[in-house]
Amino acid sequence: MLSAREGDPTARAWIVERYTPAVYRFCRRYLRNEEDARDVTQETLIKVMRNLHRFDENRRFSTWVFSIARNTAIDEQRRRKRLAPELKKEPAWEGPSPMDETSQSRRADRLHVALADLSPKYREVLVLYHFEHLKYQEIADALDIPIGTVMNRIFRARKSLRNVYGADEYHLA
Amino acid sequence: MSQHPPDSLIKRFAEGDLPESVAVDLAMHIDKCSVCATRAAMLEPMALVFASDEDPQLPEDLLAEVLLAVSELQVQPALPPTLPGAMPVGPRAELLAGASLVSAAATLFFLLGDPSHFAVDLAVNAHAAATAASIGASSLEGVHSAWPAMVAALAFAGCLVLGYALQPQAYARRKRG
Repeated sequence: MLSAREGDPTARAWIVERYTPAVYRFCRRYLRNEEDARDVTQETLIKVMRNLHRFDENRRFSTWVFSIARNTAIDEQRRRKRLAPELKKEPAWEGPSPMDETSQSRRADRLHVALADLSPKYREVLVLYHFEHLKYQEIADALDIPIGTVMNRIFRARKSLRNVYGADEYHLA
Repeated sequence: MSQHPPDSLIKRFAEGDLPESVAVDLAMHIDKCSVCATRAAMLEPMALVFASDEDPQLPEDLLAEVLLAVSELQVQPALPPTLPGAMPVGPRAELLAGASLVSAAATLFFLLGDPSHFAVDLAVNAHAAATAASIGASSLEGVHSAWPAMVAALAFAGCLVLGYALQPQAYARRKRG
């Protein structure tokens, strides 16, 4: 971190290589659009590098990176709404359509649709917890909200997803 | 929460059926306890659904694009270490320089001009504000802001000396007038 702050190209490249996949995964699931996710990922890493000198070492670096990614993604959503105000609804999931009809791919496809129907504030906590495996306190730090709010949003989001799936479908065997 | 909570409690937690205060306590325990984190993940009703989702693949060219964009950035200097006598840059330095000048001008006006109540108040207040700003900035910034504080103090001292030196002539002029 210190080397990266001082401009060491190897250390800066290491940070990019380490965090680009995670930021892209988060953006892809949060924005549900590949082009937007690419743009926001690139912008996030640029912001991270520009602001390395401001990073508070008392925080976890990954939490700080996700908070920048999330804010950049929100800005992107606002920009998208300004450009096309008539498009009230966010784009549906643009993931690859599963060619095979395995139960796993069908389940994943339904998950994407269900996630797309969630409001962003519920979607972001679910993605950070279940897919990026952040802890509750880390999510609270990244989103700058109390941990109780994180819990409430996760529970509500899960309940909402459960309504989409049948009770017999989601329980572990 | 020092002991592992029972499965029944973790199950209720995973399903969102606990009061918020209990849920928060349990969440903080789960954050720190890998055993309970694993149990909570197993008891999470949607676990299978989440596990079924494959991570989106990183586009092949994206990493190269980001690396290129980042390599073209200019490196921002880290916050400077405390260098003795270093001048601060930017608006704060200009503000302090301005405050020093106001302080000097106010002192000169007080010593050479008509010592009415207005002039006294103006001079004292202006000098107090300028000195407070300099001292405040010095305490915030450490030695980085020592120069403006010193400039203000020197300007004040210089004007004081000049004022005392010229004051008899000014009074004499006023008496003649």
